[in-house]
Amino acid sequence: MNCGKMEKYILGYVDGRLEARELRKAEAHLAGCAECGRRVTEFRAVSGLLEEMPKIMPTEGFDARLQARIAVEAARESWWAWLAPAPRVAFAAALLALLCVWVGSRPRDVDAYPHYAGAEMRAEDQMRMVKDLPVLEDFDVLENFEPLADLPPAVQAEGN
Amino acid sequence: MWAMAQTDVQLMLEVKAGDEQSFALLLHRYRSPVINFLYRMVRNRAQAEDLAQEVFLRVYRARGGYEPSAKFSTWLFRIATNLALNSVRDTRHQKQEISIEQPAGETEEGEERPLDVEERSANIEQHLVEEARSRMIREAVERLPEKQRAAVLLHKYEELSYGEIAKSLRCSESALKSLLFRAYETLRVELAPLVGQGPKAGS
Repeated sequence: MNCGKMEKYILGYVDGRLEARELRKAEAHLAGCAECGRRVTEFRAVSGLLEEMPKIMPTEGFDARLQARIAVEAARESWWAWLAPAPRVAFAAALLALLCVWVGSRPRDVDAYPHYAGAEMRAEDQMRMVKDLPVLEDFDVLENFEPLADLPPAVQAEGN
Repeated sequence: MWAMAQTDVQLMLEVKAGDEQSFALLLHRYRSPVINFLYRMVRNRAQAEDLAQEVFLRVYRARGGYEPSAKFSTWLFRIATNLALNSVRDTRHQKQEISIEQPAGETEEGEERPLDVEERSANIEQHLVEEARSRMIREAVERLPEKQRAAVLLHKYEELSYGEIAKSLRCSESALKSLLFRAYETLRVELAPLVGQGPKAGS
């Protein structure tokens, strides 16, 4: 073993973690290498100095704080556990709820034009229809359809 | 019930089965080592405690999937090491600013508390020498690159094997040995004035 290889073994030698075979090799090298021998002595000293590092104690509320967080965690988990046996049902229910919200929030286009075919269309209805591009053409045709304008009011009411 | 000497793995399996008391026992067993490891890594007591809380919370959250394939302490310190290294990296710039503004050693720790009159008259010189010595060791460790520092702390204080430390640091055993060698070489040079002195008197 040379000094370069000894680098990997020297700390293990210092703290007694080498296997028998490694130990024999390290000892053989150390017997003939003063530099590595000095390093062993100084690594031992460094290891001793590290023992002097001060220790701190947990502050008084440490356990209580952690237990409180654990309790929150446990409560959250139990809520999820309620859903866990039927995750697909929960997913489907969530989708259904979303669908309801989406449908509910859509503009009510279909019901918005009670006087669609009539001549008495209100100004706001007209505005909505103007915005509704796909039916714009039909609107134009119906608006200018003369036979409809000639119908008596009673017949128009029935038509609605 | 288990006898007094329940192993970590036995306790953790009981935690997995829903026994909160076993978690409290594990917490009692490991909170101090974890807090001290984190404190030496992040150099701030409050932050070390916050990170330690996160470590134990993660252990609790992961209890359902716990398998006793590795030593509990290896798993625990792997979580702690990850959190510590991330924290050190995230706050590196902030730390540099603090170390410029605040003279080295005067941390929030209160170790530099003012001496009372009695102490001052008794052995102020010895006290100052010890203070300087303690500060020198602490600062030398703190100046190590974070991965070397983690390696030294896990090796020195947590009684983990090379293989276990290597797992915590996500490196090979060979790389770990190099890390440790470089760290000890640096410490040997930085602490040269103390290295020749032998152990502290009275310790």
